[in-house]
Amino acid sequence: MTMGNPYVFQLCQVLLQGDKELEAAMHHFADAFEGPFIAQPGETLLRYGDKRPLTFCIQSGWGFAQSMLPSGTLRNFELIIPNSILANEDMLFYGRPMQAALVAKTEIVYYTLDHPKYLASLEDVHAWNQLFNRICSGLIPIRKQRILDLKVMSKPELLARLLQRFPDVFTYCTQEEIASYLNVSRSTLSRMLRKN
Amino acid sequence: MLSAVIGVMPELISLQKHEVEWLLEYLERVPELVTRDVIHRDETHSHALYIESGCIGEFVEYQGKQRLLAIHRSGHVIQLKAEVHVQAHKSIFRCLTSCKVWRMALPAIRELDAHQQDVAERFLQGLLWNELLFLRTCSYEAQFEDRDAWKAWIKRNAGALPGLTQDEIGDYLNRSAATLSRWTHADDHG
Repeated sequence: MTMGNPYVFQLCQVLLQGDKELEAAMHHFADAFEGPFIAQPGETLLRYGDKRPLTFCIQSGWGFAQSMLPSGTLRNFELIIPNSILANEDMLFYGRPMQAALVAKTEIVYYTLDHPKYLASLEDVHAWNQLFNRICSGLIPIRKQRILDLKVMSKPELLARLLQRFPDVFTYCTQEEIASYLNVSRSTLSRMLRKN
Repeated sequence: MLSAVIGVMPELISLQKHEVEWLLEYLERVPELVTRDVIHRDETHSHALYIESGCIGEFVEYQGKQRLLAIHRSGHVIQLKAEVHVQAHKSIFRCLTSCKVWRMALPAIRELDAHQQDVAERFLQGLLWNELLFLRTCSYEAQFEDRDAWKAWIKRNAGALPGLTQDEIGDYLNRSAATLSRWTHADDHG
């Protein structure tokens, strides 16, 4: 099933930065996505330790990427938002199991790319390498921006941004989950909410 | 030295021995000793630095202030400029200790034959992957909050601390100087 192709292509096109030479490779990449699939609230898209070499395109819905704390518990680390691309990068880059988990909090509509299947279908590996380098290059400034935001924004600012990106977060998540994402205690979150 | 560089490449890049030898021939390698200095950026050529020893801080100008984004340690490869790498934030690299680095001019990919292009691109891919996963670790660090996490961070980066101001450390950890001082004080008293 390749119903997602135009959507995935449109989502990824920004990474091409107008480079027409890589457009054919990007079309082939977008064509390889399967879906749409639907995840129900609470469903795990990728679990911690997962070895499936998948990349996801999230068309709609919200969730959390969870990282493992030294204590062995999972903490909400990053918000999954519509129109985003998520990958099991531990597996894709280093062949290691996933070091995080992706969990849906609302219904999520998504597409998936199975990398070994995709790589086997490639006729032009060179174009793919170029495209993949372009995609990774595009992700680096995004990741740097995220680090800077985390360093610079205060907790109330992070809460305000969470509410802006996931307006119904309090409908779908418990206060404990939200406190986990903001890395504050529940009492601090309650204080912040009272001030709001 | 290059075998050490290849050693930090992700396994899946799988560069072969003869490819490594070609890279060794091709890359212009210059060992440099740098001390508490800003690393020179060459805006016209793609190049990378392999840190053999020492620590290098990556800073970016953000909201009117120069902020520490990451600390690169020995064994890391830093991309100073790569053809495929478009940076929104221009990073400034400053030595936090005396460092021994190797500057590598990356191949002008378009001038190479198909096989060499493939090798060079996989090498770049390795650098990009390394950087992405390294930044993910930095992103975890940016969120840590408690004294134990801070202590672990201090231990990991002990060698780099003399090259940073209290303000820069507080900024990196998103904690006030007063909080850091309180944690240090608590630590001193068990």
